[in-house]
Amino acid sequence: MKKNTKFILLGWDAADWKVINPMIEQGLLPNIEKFINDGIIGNLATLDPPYSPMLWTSIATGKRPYKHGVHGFHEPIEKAPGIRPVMSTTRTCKALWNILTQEGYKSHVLGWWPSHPAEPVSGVAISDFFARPVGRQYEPWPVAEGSVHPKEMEEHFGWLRMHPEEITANVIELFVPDWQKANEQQQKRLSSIQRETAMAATLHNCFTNILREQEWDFAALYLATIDHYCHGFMRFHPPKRPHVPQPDFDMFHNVITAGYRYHDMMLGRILQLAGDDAYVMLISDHGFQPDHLRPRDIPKEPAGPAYEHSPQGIFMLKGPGIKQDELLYGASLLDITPTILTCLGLPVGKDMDGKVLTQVFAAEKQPETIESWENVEGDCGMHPSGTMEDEDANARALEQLVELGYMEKPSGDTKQNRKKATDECNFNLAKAYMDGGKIQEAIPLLEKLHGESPDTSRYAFQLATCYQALGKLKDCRRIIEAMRDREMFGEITLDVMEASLLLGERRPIEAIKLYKKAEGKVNHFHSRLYLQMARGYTMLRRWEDAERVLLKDIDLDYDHAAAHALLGSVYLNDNRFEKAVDSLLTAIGLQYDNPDAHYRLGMALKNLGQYEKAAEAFEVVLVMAPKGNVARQQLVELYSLYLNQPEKAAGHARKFDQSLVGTIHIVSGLPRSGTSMLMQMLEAGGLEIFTDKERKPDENNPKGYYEHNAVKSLATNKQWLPEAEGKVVKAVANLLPHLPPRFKYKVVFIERDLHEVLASQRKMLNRLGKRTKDDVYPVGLMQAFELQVKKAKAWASRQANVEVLYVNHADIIENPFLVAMQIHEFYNHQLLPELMAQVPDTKLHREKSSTISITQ
Amino acid sequence: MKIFDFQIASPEQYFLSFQIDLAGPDGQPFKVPLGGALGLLAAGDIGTIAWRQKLQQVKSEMAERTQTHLAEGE
Repeated sequence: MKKNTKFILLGWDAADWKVINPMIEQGLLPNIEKFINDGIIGNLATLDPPYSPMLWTSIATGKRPYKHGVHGFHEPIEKAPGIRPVMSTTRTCKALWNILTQEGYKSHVLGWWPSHPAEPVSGVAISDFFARPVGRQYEPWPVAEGSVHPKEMEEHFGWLRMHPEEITANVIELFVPDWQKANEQQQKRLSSIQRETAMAATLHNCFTNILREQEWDFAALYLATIDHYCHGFMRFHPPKRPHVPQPDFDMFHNVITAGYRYHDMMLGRILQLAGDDAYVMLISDHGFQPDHLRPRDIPKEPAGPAYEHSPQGIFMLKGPGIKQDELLYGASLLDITPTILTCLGLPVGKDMDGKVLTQVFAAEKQPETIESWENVEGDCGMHPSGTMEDEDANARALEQLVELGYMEKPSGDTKQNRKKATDECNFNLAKAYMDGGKIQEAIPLLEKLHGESPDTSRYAFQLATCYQALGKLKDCRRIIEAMRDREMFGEITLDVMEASLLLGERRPIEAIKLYKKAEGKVNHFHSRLYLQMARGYTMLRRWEDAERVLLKDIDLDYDHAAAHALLGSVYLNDNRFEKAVDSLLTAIGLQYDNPDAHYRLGMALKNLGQYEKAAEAFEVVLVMAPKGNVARQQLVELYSLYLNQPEKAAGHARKFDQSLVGTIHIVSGLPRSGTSMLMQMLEAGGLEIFTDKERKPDENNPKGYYEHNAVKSLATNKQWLPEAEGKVVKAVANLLPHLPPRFKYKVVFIERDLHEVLASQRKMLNRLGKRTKDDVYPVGLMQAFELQVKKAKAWASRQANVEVLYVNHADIIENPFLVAMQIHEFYNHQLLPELMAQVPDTKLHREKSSTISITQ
Repeated sequence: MKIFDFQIASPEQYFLSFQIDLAGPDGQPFKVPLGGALGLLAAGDIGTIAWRQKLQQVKSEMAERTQTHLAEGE
C-alpha cells in the first residue's frame, strides 16, 4: 500500500554545528545552507553514556537504553570468543522501521548501528556489517552473510560497494593535498581516510539506488564517517594546538573540512532524489569538540574516545508543513521517533521516553498516542529469536571497534572476555539509569561492580555520585576515603570529588578551600571547578565571589550554559535583575532545555515588573516540565493579580491540584521542640516513618530521633522524596520552604515555648560536650528562631498543596489524648489515638519554661 | 519490491549497460575523469556506475589497442 507521506531520515554520527557554521559562512556547505533556509534547525541533546550504538537505538525507538536493551558496543555470548558486537537482535523493542513495516509503509534502513543481521522489513535493509571491506581490491569480497534483506538483492547491492583501494588520488588530495609527501606513519592515516570514505560511498550508493529504483515511504541512512574522521583527525583541525606536531598538522589539517564537504555533496544528491514533497531530517547523536575544548589526552578506559564528544548534536528538518528558516530549542534524541511518527500521522507510544517536537510544525498539531507499539500484533519485520550469526563478520566488526579504540583487543580467554563485556554493559546500564533519573536502579549494579572490582576508579566514582545524589552522604564519603586509601586517583582529583561531597553536605567553606587548592592544577573544562566553587559561594550568599569565579569560567568557555545560568541565579539573588535577565537569556540561548533557567528568568522579569514576559517564561517551564508546579504557582499569581486573566489563573490552579502525585506527611518545628515525640505518636497511630535509623537513641532522645539523613540536604537534593510518599518525614522548620510542590503535604507543626526550646538545645549541647556560654542569654538566637517559625508559617499559608495542623508541646504533655484526637481528625480519622496518647512521657519533659533562670 | 533476476544478467552487466548523462555544476555535460572524483562518489550509485563504465571503456580501448598493436606487429 503506497502512502502519501514520504520521510527520509539521515544520521551523521558526531556532526557538530561548531564545525558546520564557520564552513557555511565560507560558502563551503551549500546544500546544508539551503536545507537550513528551507527548514527548522537546532541542537539535539545527547544521552549519557554517549556511545553510538546505544544512542542510535534510542533515536530509532524513542526509548532509553534500559527499555531498548542495547547497553554498549559489544555484549557477552556463551561461545568463543565470549563477546560479539551488539546486533539488531540485541534490541528488545520495535524500531521505527518495524512500526512502519507493520503499518504498511515501504520502509528501508541502511547502515544503522546496530542493525546486523538485516531485519526482514517491508523494504531493503542493509546492515552495519555490509560496507566493511576485506582484503585487497581484486581479492574476493563476499557480501557478509545476513547483511542484506532481501537476500536476493545481495549481488545487486554487492556490486555497488566501494573498496578502499578504489578511493583514488583525485579524491585523497582533497583531504590531504600533500599526500605524496606522507611518511610511513602518515600513510597509515591516509589508509583510514580511504577506508572511511569508501564505506560511506558504499552505503550512499545503495541508498541513492533505492531512492531511484525502489518504491519508498520511509528511508533511513546512518553514516559513521564524520565520527571516524573526527576521531582520527580532529586533533589536526585548525587552530593548531601547541602539542600537535607541525608536520602532522600540515599534512592533515584539511581532513575534517573535506569530510564535511563530502557529506554536504552527498546530502545534495539525496535532496535531489527526495523531491520537494518529502520530509527530510538530518541529525547527529552528539557533537565532537572542534576547538580549545578538545581533550589533549584520552582516558585509557573502554569507550575512552567518547571523551572527545560534545553533548549537543545537530537537528535539521524540512518538509510539508514544517516551519522554514526557524530555530528549534529543547530537542533531545529521544524525540526523533515520536516526531517522525507524528509527521507520518501515526500515534506515539506512551512508553516512549521522548516527546513530539510540536514546535517544528507551522500549524498546531495535536499528536496522537497509543499505549505501546509493542502490544500491536502482526509482522513488523523483526527477527525471530535464535537468528543465525556470521562469526567471521562478527570478528571483523570487533576488529573495527578495537581499531577505533572503543574496546581492548579480546584476549584468548572466553570466560574473561565474557565477564568484561558483562561488566561493561552493566556499567553502561547503570549510567543510563542515572541519566534517566533512576538513581535507585543504578545503585545495585554499581555496588556489585564496585564490590567485585574495588580498584576500578570509574565504578567507585559513579557509585559515590549516586550516593551523593540520594543524600547518602556517609556512603559517599566511605567510597571517597577508600579511593584515597587505594590511591586510585591523584590527590587533586580526590580533593575535587571531596569538595563536591562537602557541597552536598552543605559545608561550602571547606569545599571552597579544596577547590582553591586544586585551582590551576586540573583541567578546568572537565572538572568545571569554577562552577562548583561558585555553587559554594552561593550557599554562603557571597554573591560577588560567586560572580567573580563564574566570570572566570565563562572566560575559559563562553559556551558553558550552566555557568551563565548560575550567574543569572546569582544576580537574581543579589537583586540585580537586569543583569540576571541578560545572563539567563544567554544560558537559554546556549541550552534551551533548562526549565530552571526559564523559571529564574521569569522571576527576574517579574521583579522588573515585566509580568507578561514573566508569564511567558513560566509557561515555557510548563512545556518542558508539565509537573513544574513552582512555575504554575507563579502563573496563578501573575494571571490573577497582575494580568487580569482570572480564567487562566483558575485553569492553572486546577491543573496544580490535579498534578500532585501523592501525599507526604511532615512533622516539623524547631529543633528540640518535641518533633521526635510527635514522630513516635504518629508511628503509634499507624503511620509509616521515613527514617534511616542512623542516628541512634541517646540521653537527649531516649526513644530515638526518627530522622533520615537525606532530609537534611532537602535544599539541594529532592530525589529521595518519592521514597517518602505516604510516610512521615521529620523536617525542621527552616527546611519547609524547600519542599517542592509536586506532592501534597500534611504538616503537623509543633510549637513550643522558645525559652524551653533554647534551654533544651543548650542542655543537649552540654551533654554532647559542646560548650555554651551559660552566662549570656542568646537573644539573637531567639530572634532567629522566631523568624524561622514566622517564615515557615508564612510559606505554608501561601501553598495550595500544604495543609497544616499546629499543635502545642505543652498541650501534648498536659493532655496527650486531646492532641492525639486533633491529629486523628486531621488525618481523616485514620489513626489510633489511644495508642498515640500513650507516647508522651512527662518525665522526659525536662525544660519547663518556669524553671529556667535567665540571665540577660 | 523490484528484485533483479541476475540469472539473466549479472549486476555488472545490468549496471554497466546504463545510459548515464552527468552534468556539472554549470549544467554542462560532465566528462568523467578516469582517476575518479569526490563529486562522483557524492552522486551515489550513478556516479559509481559512470566511473566504472569509464574504467571499463578505457580497459576495452586499451585491450583493443593492444590487439591492434599486436596484429600490426605480426
